[in-house]
Amino acid sequence: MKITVKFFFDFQEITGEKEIEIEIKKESTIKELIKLLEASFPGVKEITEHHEDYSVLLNGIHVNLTKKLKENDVIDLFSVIDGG
Amino acid sequence: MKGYMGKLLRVDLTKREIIIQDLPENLAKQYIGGSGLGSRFLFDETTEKTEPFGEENVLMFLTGPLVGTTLPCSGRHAVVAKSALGIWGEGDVGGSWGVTLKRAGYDGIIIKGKSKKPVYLWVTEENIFIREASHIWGKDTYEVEGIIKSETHEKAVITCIGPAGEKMSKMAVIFNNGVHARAAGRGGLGAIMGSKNLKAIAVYGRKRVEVAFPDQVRSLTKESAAKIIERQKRLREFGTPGGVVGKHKIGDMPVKNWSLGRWDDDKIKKISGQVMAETILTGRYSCASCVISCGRVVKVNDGPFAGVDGGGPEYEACGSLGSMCLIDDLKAIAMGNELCNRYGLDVISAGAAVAFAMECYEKGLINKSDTEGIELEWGNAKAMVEMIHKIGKREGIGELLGEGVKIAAQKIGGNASDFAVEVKGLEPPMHDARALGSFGVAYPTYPRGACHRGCNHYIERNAFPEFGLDDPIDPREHKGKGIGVAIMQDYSGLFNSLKLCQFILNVVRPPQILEFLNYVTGWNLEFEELMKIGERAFNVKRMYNVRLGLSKKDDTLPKRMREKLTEGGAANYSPDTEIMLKEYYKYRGWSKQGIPLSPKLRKLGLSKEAEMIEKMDPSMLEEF
Repeated sequence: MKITVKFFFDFQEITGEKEIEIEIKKESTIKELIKLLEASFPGVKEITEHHEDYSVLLNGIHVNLTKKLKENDVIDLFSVIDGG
Repeated sequence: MKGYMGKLLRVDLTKREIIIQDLPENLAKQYIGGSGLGSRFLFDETTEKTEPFGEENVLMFLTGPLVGTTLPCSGRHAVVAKSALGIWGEGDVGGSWGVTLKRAGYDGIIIKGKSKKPVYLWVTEENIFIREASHIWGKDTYEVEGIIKSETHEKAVITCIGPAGEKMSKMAVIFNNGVHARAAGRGGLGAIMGSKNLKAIAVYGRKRVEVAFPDQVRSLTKESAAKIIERQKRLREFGTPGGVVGKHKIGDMPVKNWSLGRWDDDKIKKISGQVMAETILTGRYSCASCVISCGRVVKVNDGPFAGVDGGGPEYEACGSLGSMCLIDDLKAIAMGNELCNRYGLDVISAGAAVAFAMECYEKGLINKSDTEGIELEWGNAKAMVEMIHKIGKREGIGELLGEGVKIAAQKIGGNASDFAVEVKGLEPPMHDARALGSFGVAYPTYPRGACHRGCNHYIERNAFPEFGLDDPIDPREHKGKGIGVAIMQDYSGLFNSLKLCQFILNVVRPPQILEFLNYVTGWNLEFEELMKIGERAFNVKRMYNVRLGLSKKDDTLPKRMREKLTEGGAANYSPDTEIMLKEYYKYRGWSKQGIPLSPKLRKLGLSKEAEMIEKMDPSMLEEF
């Protein structure tokens, strides 16, 4: 199935992309999508290896990585600095 | 007793009496230090009848065993008293005052009574002086630093109150390190200091903190410092405001007095740490033994807010003075922040009070005659700055707002209480329970009121396998949050007792934190015992409030934070505090009414508290 990933901040710099469409197996979770992105874009893992360093919106809503994806879902991927 | 200086300084300002007392090792082993030790003292030395501003209230400044060692991010201290809100009060702060107090030979200072005239304390290795302070009464915290240094020692470190503390505003806090403005004591502990006519405490000393295993401490220092520097480099680069854009995107950062789920992306970016780094940032500040340097140093050279020069806004100020008031001018935020520092105000509460007043103004509950001509419209940066002056000076409507939004709403009337966002009288920090649901149980249960320092929001963002929290929990999931918050409150509380900075909490793992303590003190504590110490202190703080009559009825989330947002990353969710509280109370061994039960208290060695519970109305003690 096809989903859209929008990159923000550090992710945009690392991937050189603002937005991509990506094919992924049906029933995949966001965690599995992240693994795919780590393999496709060197440098992504530097941020994604620590969950607290980034956040994900699924169709605009803040979720954690266990959520399952559906056809045409839109993911926003962005780094977050904790503290304060 | 390694890690400790072994001495507490007791000062009675009414009697002008100074006593140096030994710190008993058994007490240290049960509570460690900081706010943990403070919980024991405050419970024992005040009663339910103690008036916050009465002579009998006890104001404590307490360090911990790691303070003054080489261990990274360990240079903090706690301030503890019955708060101006009339409940348990504590503050946790960096800077270098705590380290310097230990180098003067003391683990803490405990102050009772009330001086007839304004005074300050001057504490050295050799002497303790109670000095006249009439000449600095009325001075702001930046001015006080310079004057007291010139009267004591150029390397003296000063903690003090500003005019807001002198005038006993419920949002007055206590500042150390001059223009770098490290603040302690949300809930008005600055007002408690002011009520005692105590303007400042200056400390200086050169003693060393001895550790039990110097070689191990050296290698732990090296190893953990390297890890912290690597993991927190972005926090160093952009400070806590570096989180502004990301936190706004998930709906965590409040907008327009907690009424909107998102703001304009370009406006948010303008008040971020990234833009600060490109514009007004002139340096980075580190507390004693810090290897992160999250503190901001800023200067504003031009425009209507020119003159700002010193400690810069943190994430909280960008929220309270910025997005909460719809102000996207970073220089105005820097000015509002500096004024809070100078007046000795809590920037979270002060900004929240201005945002609340803006909403009252919009709704016609107050008008231009109430504000003495200030057009208190959303986004009016000049008005925000003028309001901070009024709150700091306790002038006009600023006097009422300085009481906090709870009391202000009661006085203003109408439906103002519907959008007065507070828990137990304390305005929440800039994190929304609708974005990170664990705040839906953490805010209601923290003993000083809505607090993000007594727990933390890593439950949604970080796993803690050491505590059985194997995966971050979804922001909207309720199951597991009550237990997770209870565990993390106990663990965060340990940081507030050891006096470690919470910015290393997710970097230096729990087994290493235990090594920090054991290698410094020479104790041989097991991890289970360490967690029990955290749990013990938390229960004493809870019991402090229970003795005052607080229970489940007070463990609430503000109405507005229960209303669903319609936009942004936190849209269409409201945390179910009731579900999370049940799990939380049950896990803690508390009753359905949120009262710690006797078996739990006795297991923690709290027999005095257990006896108190055994005399309570049984209807309050129904078990799960």
